[in-house]
Amino acid sequence: MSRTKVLASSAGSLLCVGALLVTFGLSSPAAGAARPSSASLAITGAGSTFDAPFFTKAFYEYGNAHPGLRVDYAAIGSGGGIQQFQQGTVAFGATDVPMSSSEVAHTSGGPTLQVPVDLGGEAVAYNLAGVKVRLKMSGTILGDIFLGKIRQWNDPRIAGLNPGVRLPDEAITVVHRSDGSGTTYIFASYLADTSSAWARGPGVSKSIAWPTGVGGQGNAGVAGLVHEIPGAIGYVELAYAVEDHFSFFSLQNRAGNFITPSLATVAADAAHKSKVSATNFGIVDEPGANSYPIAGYSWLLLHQRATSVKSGQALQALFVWLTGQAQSIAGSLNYVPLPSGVRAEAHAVLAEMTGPGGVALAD
Amino acid sequence: MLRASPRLAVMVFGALLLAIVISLGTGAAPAIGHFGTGLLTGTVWDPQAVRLGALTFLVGTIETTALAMVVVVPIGLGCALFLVGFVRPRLRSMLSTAIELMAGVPSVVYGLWGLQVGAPFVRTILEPALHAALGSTGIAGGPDLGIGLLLGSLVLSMMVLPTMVAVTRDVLAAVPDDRVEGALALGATRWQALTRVALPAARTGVLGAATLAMGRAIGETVAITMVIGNNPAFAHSLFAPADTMTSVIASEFTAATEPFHASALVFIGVLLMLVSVIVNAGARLLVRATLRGSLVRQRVAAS
Amino acid sequence: MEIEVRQVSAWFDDQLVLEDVSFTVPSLSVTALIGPSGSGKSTLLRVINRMHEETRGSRLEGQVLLDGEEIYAPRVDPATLRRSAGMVFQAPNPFPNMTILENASSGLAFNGVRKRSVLEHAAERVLRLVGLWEEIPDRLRRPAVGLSGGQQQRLCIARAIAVEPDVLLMDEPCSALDPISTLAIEALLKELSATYTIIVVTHDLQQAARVSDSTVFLSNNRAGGPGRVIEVSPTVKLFTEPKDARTEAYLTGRLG
Repeated sequence: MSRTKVLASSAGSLLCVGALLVTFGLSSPAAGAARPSSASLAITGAGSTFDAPFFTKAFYEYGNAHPGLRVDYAAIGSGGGIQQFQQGTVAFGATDVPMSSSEVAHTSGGPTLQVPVDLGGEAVAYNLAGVKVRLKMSGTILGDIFLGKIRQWNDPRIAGLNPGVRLPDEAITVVHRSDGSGTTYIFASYLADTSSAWARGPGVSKSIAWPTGVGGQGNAGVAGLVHEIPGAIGYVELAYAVEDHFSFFSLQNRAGNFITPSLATVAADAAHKSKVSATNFGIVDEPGANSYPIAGYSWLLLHQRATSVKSGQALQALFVWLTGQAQSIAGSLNYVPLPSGVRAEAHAVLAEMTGPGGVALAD
Repeated sequence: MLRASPRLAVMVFGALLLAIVISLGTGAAPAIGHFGTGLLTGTVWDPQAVRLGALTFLVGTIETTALAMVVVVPIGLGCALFLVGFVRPRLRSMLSTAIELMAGVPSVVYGLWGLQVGAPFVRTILEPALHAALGSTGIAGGPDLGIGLLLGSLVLSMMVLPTMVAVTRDVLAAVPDDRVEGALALGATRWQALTRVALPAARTGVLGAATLAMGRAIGETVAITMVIGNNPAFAHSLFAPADTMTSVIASEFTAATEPFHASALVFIGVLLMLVSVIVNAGARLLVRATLRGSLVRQRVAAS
Repeated sequence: MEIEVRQVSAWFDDQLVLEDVSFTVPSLSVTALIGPSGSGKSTLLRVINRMHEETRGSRLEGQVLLDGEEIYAPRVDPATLRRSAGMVFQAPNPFPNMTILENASSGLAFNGVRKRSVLEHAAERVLRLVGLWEEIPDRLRRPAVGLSGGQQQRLCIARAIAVEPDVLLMDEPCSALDPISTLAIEALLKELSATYTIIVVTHDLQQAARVSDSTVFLSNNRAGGPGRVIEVSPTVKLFTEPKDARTEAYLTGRLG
């Protein structure tokens, strides 16, 4: 083996290892993903799967109206969206629960803006083949079911809410998300709000230490398991319950009424809290006779300071449109359009965007 | 150059492996530093409360794998013996192709099959039967969910059966013909010749085949995540939902934003890698020893 | 037990390897089967205990009778038949997973004998017969693979006679052995001929002359052609005054 060949092969192996190090993320992450170029601009975002259908359609239409601009969105989940945004690998993130102050503190690239972008509700679905009427449920009892304290469908407390319904002597199987999720956070918020036992116990988080039940991956996983297991109860985004023809509960709201989830009843809930922000975002169990109690906004994550004036302008225009006119697209896709007060607030936050070093984005 | 190449290749792959270990180790270090040995021996998994112990998942992996092997070893042995001893060459090659196709089916398809077909079967037939045989407490306790430890193990066994059959078939076929013929000439039936002469002669290889299948079962992720029930607690019965090292990583990693959560999952990854490397290396050594042994014997016989 | 081979033809796939072979072997005699390589000697031997049919793609026509009983009759179970027509292979093939004692009694175990005392008694009888019992008394419970080639082959003979067959078929039993081991096997063969009807395939003409009573000479006319019986005679006669020119050519090294 000649000396040159040794050198060549060693260089080859070093190259190989180098490529691997890059693959495993030991290299520095790419800086901001909004890269202006002479002819076109590509904006990349990642996060919530809840937002994905809305974003896909809206970004497609926006791209058609703005030649030379492309927006790509990766639906990797809220947690993933926050991580990617913190590391600066995407220009914007999307999450069903706003970033906490400590998460914001760990974000590179300057101050973070959080903007409400769409609104949705969650249904609590169940699988009881023999029961044809829609069952009623309260947060307190639901909390005890998810705590594993109520284990049978014919429990007197469930029967008490549903007089005249023959409930089967069947075991209840709790189905929950196995992945960390904003959907879980919002559902747990409702349980904590209505059940003190839940608030003292598992509490509110995107990942819960579940006292009972089986876990499914994503909304689809939970929906699949509820569908599969007789006697199951699980929470899913409203769109899943509507499209997959599940039975789902009428839930008792703060006013004591039993409300069926729908776009209108979720909107009624949201209407009772006109001011929301990243630190005061909860809208579960709002007052109002017709409010459906499990609802929440999804949030955009943006760097206040854009990497260039041009990309800052493009991002600002895109998201002003997304939280304004584009809400009619959301309405056509089983989302609840943002209330007008919340839209105004979103636009006020977006107006805080600047270029590098705080220069204004004025036209 | 030719003579040095293998060593260079080993060096390159050794370096790659080292790079993986270092990058994973770096990722796991914060959790190891924070939890110490509790990270390995702890049984509570509560990211929100920052209490993370991986023992539940290690046990879950051991349980599902062991149960799967209880199914795979006898069935796989039976299939391999059948293929080697009782099937005409044309049918044998057809069946072998079918087995190899089975091994190539993507994991997610087995997962879907597990949910659509396996879960109702386990819930309505297998679990009631087990209740009848074992009672409704202890290892057959709990409600009949379909999904859980038992279904997870069954799906795993479906997935690794082709590996077991294919490798066992090869090591059995590698037993020199004259041993089997020696038995037949003494009035042994074909079954006796295979089970009492060929099988013991190939036992190291068969053990290797089982270990190789076990290695696959340990590392299997997608399908098991779909059918195990994802409950990070010790499975108290066959029917209980559980979690494995692979399923918890797959479920939780993308959304692991709590402190040390991602790092603890990386630690589980390191653990998984160690277990897999040990099991796979063992399997390969056993299989190679058997195949090489048979070649040596054939050469001696031929000389 | 008298062996009669009647008009036997044998094929592997489409290749005819034996054509119209007929001869008779008298009871309690040693018959040598000689002939050039590829003349079908081993195949013929395997036809007589129905091992031929264990090879994939094999086919057969004709009859083989043991004491007048047709062994290819539908009601004959090949496993049962093989117990009365034992076989010793070219290369010693003791079962590697068994001890010497277990090897010796393995045929009985295959036939359903489970009682340890019976098995060990049978093993002792045949191991004494082949001289291993006295030769290696301290190694009988060790794996058979530790034995020398000659000892292994004697163990295989012991194994074959433990099931008390009437016929012993030996396929070049000494070809893998050194001269001393060969002589030991030949001596054993002589001894066994008092109890068994023996056919031995051999390439070693001296061996054929030393051990056999009669000799069957098989040959093919052209390389790759089917083997045919050229001559069957008492060994002394075949070696001293062969009837066929081809036999003489083979014996003098001009053929094969």
